[in-house]
Formats: sequence, C-alpha cells, structure tokens
Amino acid sequence: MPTIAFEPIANQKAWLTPPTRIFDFSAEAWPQPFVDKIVRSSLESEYTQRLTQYLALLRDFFRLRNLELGWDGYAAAPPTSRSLIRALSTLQRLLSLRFLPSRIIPSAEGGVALCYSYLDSFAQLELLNSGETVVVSYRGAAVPEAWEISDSEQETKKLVRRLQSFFDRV
Amino acid sequence: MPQRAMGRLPDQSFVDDERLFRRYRPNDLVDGKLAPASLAIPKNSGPSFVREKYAIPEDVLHPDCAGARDFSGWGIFALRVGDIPPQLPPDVPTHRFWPQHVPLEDCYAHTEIWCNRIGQGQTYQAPNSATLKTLFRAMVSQHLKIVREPQ
Repeated sequence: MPTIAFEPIANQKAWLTPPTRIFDFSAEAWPQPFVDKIVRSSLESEYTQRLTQYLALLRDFFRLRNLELGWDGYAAAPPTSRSLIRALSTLQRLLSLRFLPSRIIPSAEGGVALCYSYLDSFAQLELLNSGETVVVSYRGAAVPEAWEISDSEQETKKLVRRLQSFFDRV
Repeated sequence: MPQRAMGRLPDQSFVDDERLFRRYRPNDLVDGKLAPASLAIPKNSGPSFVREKYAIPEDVLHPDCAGARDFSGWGIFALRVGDIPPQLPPDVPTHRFWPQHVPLEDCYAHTEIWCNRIGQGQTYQAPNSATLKTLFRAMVSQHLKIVREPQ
C-alpha cells in the first residue's frame, strides 16, 4: 500500500495565500473583452437605467425639503410635508409601473411637479399643497389638456396608460 | 438701473410684440424649457413681470425690481403680450387675462398678468379652479423664450 508523505509546511503565509494562478479573481486577471462586456451589459440593462434614473429623481426630490418661502424669486410657498409624502408615494408607484418622470421640480403654485418631456411633447403631474393633483399635457403649440385626478393607485395606473399613449403617438 | 416711477402714472397701452420679462431659478428647466409648474397665479395679485417698454431684461434681476434681493445668477425668460391667452378655457371661456401695468416706486416697469371672471370689470380675481390655472400656465409656458441662461 503506497504511503503518502506530507511535506512540512515551510512557509505558512504562502500556504494560506489563494492559488492565484488557478483561481485569480482580481480585476487584473480578467480578460479585458470580458470585463468590457460585463460593464456594458450592466450599464445597458433596463433595470440599471431605471434605478439610476430613480436615484437621480430622489436626489431632486430631497432638495425640495430645503426650499423656503419665495424660492422662485417671487412669493412661491415651499412644498408642504403632505405634498412631499404624496409625491414620494406617487414616484414609487410610477417606478413600479415603469413610467418614471424626466424631472421632479417644485411647483410655484406650492407643491411638487413630476415632469415628462420627449421631443416637443410635455406632460406634468402636479401634486399641490392644496391637496389637488392636476395633470397637463401638450404637444408643441397645440392647445394643452388639463385635468384633475385623485391619488389612488387605480387613477395612477389610468394616468400612466393615458400618458403612455400620448407619448407613443410622438 | 431700472427706471423709477418719479410720479408717473401707469401706462395701460400694450402692443402684441412687447415682451414681458421674468426671472427663473437655475436648475428648473426641463429639457431646456420652463415647465408650467415654474409659473404661478397668486391669489391676491397677478404673476409679476417687467415690461420691455420701460425696462431691459436684466432689470428683472436688479434688487430694485426684485424686492431688494440679489438674483444676479438667475435666468430670464420673455413672454410676448400677444401670447397671453385672452380667454380660457378655449371651448367655453369663463375667465379673461390681460397685462396690467402696476408700477412700483423703484421699478416703474413692474407689470402683472391679471385675470377675472368675464364681465367682472378690471379687478384682479384669481380663478378658483386648479385645472383652469394649470391650463393658463401651460399655455404661457408654451410661448416662453429664454432670454438669458442662469450664470
């Protein structure tokens, strides 16, 4: 029966180092075309793009908390905490419906506006301090359409379908 | 330096090509355009502008025309008097809109866009309907021209 001779461990530290020649996970060891492909596909993924857009919108959103009376250079009221909460909850709904706005800006009427813009078409969902939610959409110089909606999930879904069809016609 | 009133009376004569100037905050453009949300119809007085007949665009940033505040880095947009929608809503009008020269002692060019219910004389009365206000703000923002980008 063959015997197995164990060599004494001469260098304990070297023995504990992972066998880099066989399984090297350091960035330098990855073939560049492979790395490029991973990076490109992660940047191009719809999920990453949506998440990046959502984070940018959240950054805009949190800036709204610091506005003071007259922030527009005239006499505009800052958004109330109620309208901020309504805007955040609408934004979360829009994220799940995959229909995020291009920008979040304060409303000079007092409140928060979620804006969609594509070529010459524009839509705005405005959550006012008064508690009303008003939508307006227009294309170029055509007469705009404006209407009020409630804050329910059903209404948001209905709105998204209407705006998707509005922007699909561009 | 904005023109001072120096006892002059308001001049309610406007031509369609006269421009009204208003300042806007940096970072409020959406794809290079002012959104309707950036304009308000206040409850007690019309939205403020300075009129071209008695001002240069930069006057709207000057402390004399800006409540003694400094807006030097802000942008300026212009609205032609002829682009103010005269009556709204378009199908069955209930309200009318017009430029009203409201000089201030330090800012003679100060002008507001006034509105009221059709048939209620020359007093200012903001519409109660948020939809009607939004419609007006949208129609105005469709015609705004950026005169100066924020610096």
